[in-house]
Amino acid sequence: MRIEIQNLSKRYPNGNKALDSVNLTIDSGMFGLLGPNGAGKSTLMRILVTLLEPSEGMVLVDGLDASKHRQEIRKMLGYLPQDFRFFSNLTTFEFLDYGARLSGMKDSKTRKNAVGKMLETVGLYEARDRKANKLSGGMKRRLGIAQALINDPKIIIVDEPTTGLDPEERIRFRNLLSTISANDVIIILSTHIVADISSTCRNMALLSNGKVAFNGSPEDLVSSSNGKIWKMTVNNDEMDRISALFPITTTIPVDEGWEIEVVADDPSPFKGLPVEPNLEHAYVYFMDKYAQKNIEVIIDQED
Amino acid sequence: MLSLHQIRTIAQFEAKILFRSWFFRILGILMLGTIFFYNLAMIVFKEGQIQQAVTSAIPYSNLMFYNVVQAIIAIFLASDFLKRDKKLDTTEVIYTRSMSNGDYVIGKLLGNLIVFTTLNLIILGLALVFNIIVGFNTISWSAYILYFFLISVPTLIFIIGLSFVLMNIIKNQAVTFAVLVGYVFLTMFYLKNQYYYLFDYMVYNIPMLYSGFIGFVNLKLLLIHRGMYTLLGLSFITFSIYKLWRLPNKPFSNVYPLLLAVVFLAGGVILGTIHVNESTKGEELRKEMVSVNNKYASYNRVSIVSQGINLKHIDKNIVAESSIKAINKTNKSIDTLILSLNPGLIISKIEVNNRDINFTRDVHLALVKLSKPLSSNDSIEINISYQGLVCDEACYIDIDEKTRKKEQDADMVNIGKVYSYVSNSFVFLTPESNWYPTSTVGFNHKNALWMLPNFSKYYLEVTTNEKLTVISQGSTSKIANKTSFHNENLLPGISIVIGEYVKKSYENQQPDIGVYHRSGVDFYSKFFSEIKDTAQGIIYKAFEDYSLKLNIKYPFNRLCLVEVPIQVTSIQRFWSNHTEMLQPELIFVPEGGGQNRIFRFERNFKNKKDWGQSRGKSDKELKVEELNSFLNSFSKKIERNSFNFRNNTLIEEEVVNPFFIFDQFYAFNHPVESEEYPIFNTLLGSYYQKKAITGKDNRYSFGFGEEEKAVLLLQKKSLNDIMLNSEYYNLADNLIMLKGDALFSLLEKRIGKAQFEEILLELFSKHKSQTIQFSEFSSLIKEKTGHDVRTLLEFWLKSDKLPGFRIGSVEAFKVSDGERQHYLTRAVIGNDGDIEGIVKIAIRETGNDESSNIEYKTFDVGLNQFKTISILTDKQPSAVIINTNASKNVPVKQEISIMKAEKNDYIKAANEEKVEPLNNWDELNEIIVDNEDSLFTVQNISAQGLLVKLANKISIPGDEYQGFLTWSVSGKWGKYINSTFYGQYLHSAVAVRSGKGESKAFWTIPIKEKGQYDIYTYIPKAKNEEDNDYLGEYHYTVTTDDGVNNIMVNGNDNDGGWVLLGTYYCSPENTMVELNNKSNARVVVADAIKAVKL
Repeated sequence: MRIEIQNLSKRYPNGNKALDSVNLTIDSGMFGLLGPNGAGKSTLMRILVTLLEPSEGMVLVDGLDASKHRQEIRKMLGYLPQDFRFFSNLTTFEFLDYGARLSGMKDSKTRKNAVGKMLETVGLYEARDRKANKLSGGMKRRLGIAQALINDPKIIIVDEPTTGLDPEERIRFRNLLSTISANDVIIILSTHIVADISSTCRNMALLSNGKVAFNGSPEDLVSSSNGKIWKMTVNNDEMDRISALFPITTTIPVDEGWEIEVVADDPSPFKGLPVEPNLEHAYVYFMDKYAQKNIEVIIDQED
Repeated sequence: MLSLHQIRTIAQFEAKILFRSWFFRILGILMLGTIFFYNLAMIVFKEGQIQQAVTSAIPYSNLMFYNVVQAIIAIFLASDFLKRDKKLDTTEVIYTRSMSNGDYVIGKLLGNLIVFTTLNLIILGLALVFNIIVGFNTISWSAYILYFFLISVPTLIFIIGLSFVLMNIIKNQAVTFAVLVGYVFLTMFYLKNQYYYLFDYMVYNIPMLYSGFIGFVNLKLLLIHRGMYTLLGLSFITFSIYKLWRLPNKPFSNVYPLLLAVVFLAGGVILGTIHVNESTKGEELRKEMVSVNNKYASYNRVSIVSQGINLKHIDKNIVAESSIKAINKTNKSIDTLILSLNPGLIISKIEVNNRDINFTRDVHLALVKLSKPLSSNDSIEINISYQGLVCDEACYIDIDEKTRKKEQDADMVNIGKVYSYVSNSFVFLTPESNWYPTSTVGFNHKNALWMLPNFSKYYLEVTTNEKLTVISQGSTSKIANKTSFHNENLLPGISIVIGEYVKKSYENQQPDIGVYHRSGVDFYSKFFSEIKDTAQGIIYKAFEDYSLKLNIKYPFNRLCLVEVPIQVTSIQRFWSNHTEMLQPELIFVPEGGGQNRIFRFERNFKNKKDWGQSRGKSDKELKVEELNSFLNSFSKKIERNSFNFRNNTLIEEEVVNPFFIFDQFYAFNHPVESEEYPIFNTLLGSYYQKKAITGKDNRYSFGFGEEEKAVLLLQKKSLNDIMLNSEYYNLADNLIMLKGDALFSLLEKRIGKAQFEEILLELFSKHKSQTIQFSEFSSLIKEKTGHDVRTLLEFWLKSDKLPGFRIGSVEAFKVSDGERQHYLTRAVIGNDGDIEGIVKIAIRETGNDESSNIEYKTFDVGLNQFKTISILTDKQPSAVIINTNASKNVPVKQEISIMKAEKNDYIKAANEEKVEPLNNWDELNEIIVDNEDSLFTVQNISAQGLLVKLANKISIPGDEYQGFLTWSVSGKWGKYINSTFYGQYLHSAVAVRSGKGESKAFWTIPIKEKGQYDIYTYIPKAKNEEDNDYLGEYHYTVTTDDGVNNIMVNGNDNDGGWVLLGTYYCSPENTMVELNNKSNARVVVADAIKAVKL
């Protein structure tokens, strides 16, 4: 499986340019889409799931033009939108059954089995007769992923899936996605939570202002910020000054004032100890630099 | 491509979601409950006459009810689904599935349809249960199926489609909902039957009652109308597929729904055009017919002496041959023969004196140029062959379209109208449909000759399906599928009814009185079974009593009630005392008695049992009573008064009794024919029928009904003017009644009752079942009495002069003539109008209430005379009812209570009339300012009068008044009529709801001479009245030379009438009385002020 995104732009009628000449190639496996709110992630996702039409450019799925073969693409899709709710009058089972039927499972026996199994997988079998308003947030998310997976999709697109989940739920959710990504499927995970990507994705892209700021593996992103993270202790006075100069990723109050981690090529006039960066550091560093257009954009051209 | 699987899936889930929605459940249960109780009242408690009479009204009214609720739920849910879908990302989950947009919208639609269809079926099931209560044999299964497909399905598809499309365009649920609900109410309450029901998407107004005889009147038109809405609905739905906020599966697959939407729309528009064309066809045809009639109105006509009709009934067609013998009764020769025949019937051949002859057809008229002109008094034989479909639109071409469009309905049920009908199993044709040739051009604007009947001898032979019964006039013989009718009498026309009938009659007695009812459904036998043995005696006695009262012998050998489809209707014409529902020998009764109360036997019986005076009588006695009041109702021209509020005004209208039997004796028998005065026959009829009104006069009135309006109109226009203006037609019949009665009562007074009756009897027996020429009538009167009817008539028709009655003291005494004690009621009545006139007086005796029988006596009062009338009764009188007939007096009827009757031995116990000259009824030293005078003004007057006037180009005199009903009095001064109000002749006053004193009335008193005056106000109050809403404290301000004085008068503390406000020194141009609306009473009445010089 491969999704090729070529020169994709989206302008809304109000003149807002949500996407600006985006080029990306996504292969099987999990792909992380990282970016701050308003970077264009949702727009890109909605174009990928055929809900929106791009203004320019195209999306090819295994060579198929997505805007011409929507039905075929839709058959391959599993989609979990960010704000997923479902009809409050249907039970968990019924809703999943609805999804299954819509994706073409005609035989009711097969479907019943599949739905049951899926509920089991996401741990909702016990709650199969409960209505939507009786489900917890985590359960709803799990039902959301269940409906996205029910049709054995080749492309799974999940938008901010872990927002609002407790840590245990989040871990379970990531594990579930990882298991599925072992098959020949593409999972696109859009998030602004860095940890979601660091733990699961082999490839990722960073979106900022409708443009791709980075495309590559999380490791590449991390390594690009090597030696740019500094740890230091500052007093209140220094804290005010330094925060005006550099982005700060961690702030821990200590007796002397604050123990902080600063993202900077060179933190002078302050002094600090270099720290091994993680993805979150890299993300902050990158976004800061990209915003200042100080560093060259690394774009993984079609290789 | 559409996928059935996807559609089914979406539909099932949509339905599931809807069924589980609380909005739907609550509304659904509320509606079911309401419909259940509605049925309970209508059927179990027998409130709904129409549901009992035609049981298809049960599913029909239920669906009507349901349709309104359904429209609102459907609008809400349909607009809700798009909103719901749009807001939540749930939809995105659904939208990314692989079904097509078409699958999605169609699925949604079907889901909605499943839900509403289920509700529909529940409602129909409920209706069926109640239908079974009425009687299993009355169930019309086809009605149930047709109603479902004609009412429910198109309505749903249309309203859901419209909701979809509007939601897509407006994109705001609240606005969409408001717009759609507005549209629903617009069609229900405003558009109604306008524009030929074109906007009536939910058939709220289109008549759709399914008759047990004929089903719908015009199924084809219904199908077109419903088809139109189905297609429009489908067009909207396909359009919303096109507009759906989701990218289609394939880039250009959106073109298909758009194309389909256009195709459906075009189909809908085409059907709509057909509908409008079909609906306007009739009006155009009638215009054309009238213009053709105008063209040939002046042609002389032959008189048909006899006509033999051989008619074959084949499906919807009739194939007939008519042999006519005619004579030229005019004094000129006739070169062109004019025959009239329903325009739907095609004439294939005309023979004159057994020779084929050329003819031309101009709409309904056939014009035959005779080879040799027909000289005066010569005869001619004409044979006409014709066939085709009888066109119902060609009936009643004289009736204005507004009257024609008046709905025939009952509660939720629109019955529909048909004047003639031919199908393979049922035929209903009266002379109105012109189903056989006549020799007159019909209604035209050039002359009124078409009102005159042509009496001929009729023979009829009908061939139809052997199983069907043929009903017509004359003695009947049936051989196989041929039924022949032979008439002894000359008739003004014949009618024919063919259907599956059962006849029940008393064949052992003459005339043969009976009933033809639809076979299998008999709605009366069970009720009367208890008095079956006595019924015959009661029926014949009532019949003979009526004949005796009229002093006319019934001319025919049979008299039958014939049940006809519920839609069969007739339109009253002012110059006739019968409608088409009455034909010689036959009285047509709508299915199951229709809406008419007189056929509500069970309900009437129950009412009698539970209420009123009859309580305590045995069932059998009550049933006899019910039979008697049923029989009595045939002798009443007006069934009852109906009360409606229009533009905040109480409007009383008369409901004509279509079963008024009078003309069976009179107009079908020996009418007086006058080319000069075509109305003469009806005028004479008015006098006759008034003589024979039996039973109680229980028409309730608030003081301003059609008779009052007619009298006001008569003060402005002559009878002749009124008859020529169709705007006045609904009052013309009242006027003819009043004028006719007055004219002949006066003649009777002059000649003497006995002699007048003798003359009439002589004339009638000489011309048994033949027309009487007016000239013969008038010369006989002249010869016997010296009175010239012609001059009298001329004066009555053309003059607007009227008598004006003044009613003086009315009192009663106990008197005795030796041993026996009587009561004597004395009333003084003066006439200071323009001409002499008649009044009718009846005494209501103690112990009798408004529902008891009363009998009027007629008195003439000469101009400038006053009469003291004494009437003896055995029982103590409680009230005197004075009917002033055609005079200046309004209201026409006054009821004056009599509180006591003192013993007086000096008064002779005898009926007496004492005449004295009348110089001045009002005292010369009195100055009266009434509310009708120009010196009376009010502040804060009701503007309705003006609005009403603007709305109607021709305002009918008297429209500004209404009957006095205190709770209908508004916050602005309005004009009211009541017999207790002061007035020279017009007993009116202005009234307003009480308030803080912001509304004022002013009387300026035209004092001519300085001096001391007693000033009075008139407080209207009936003698026996107490605690009325308008009696209480009134605040007057009297301005005179003595200054400004505030005076309070409490109507509860005095006897009413003239109440003194005080004695003041007054001078010209300085005297005024003011009344404001501050009062503890509900209503303040401003009537009249009187100043009396001391």
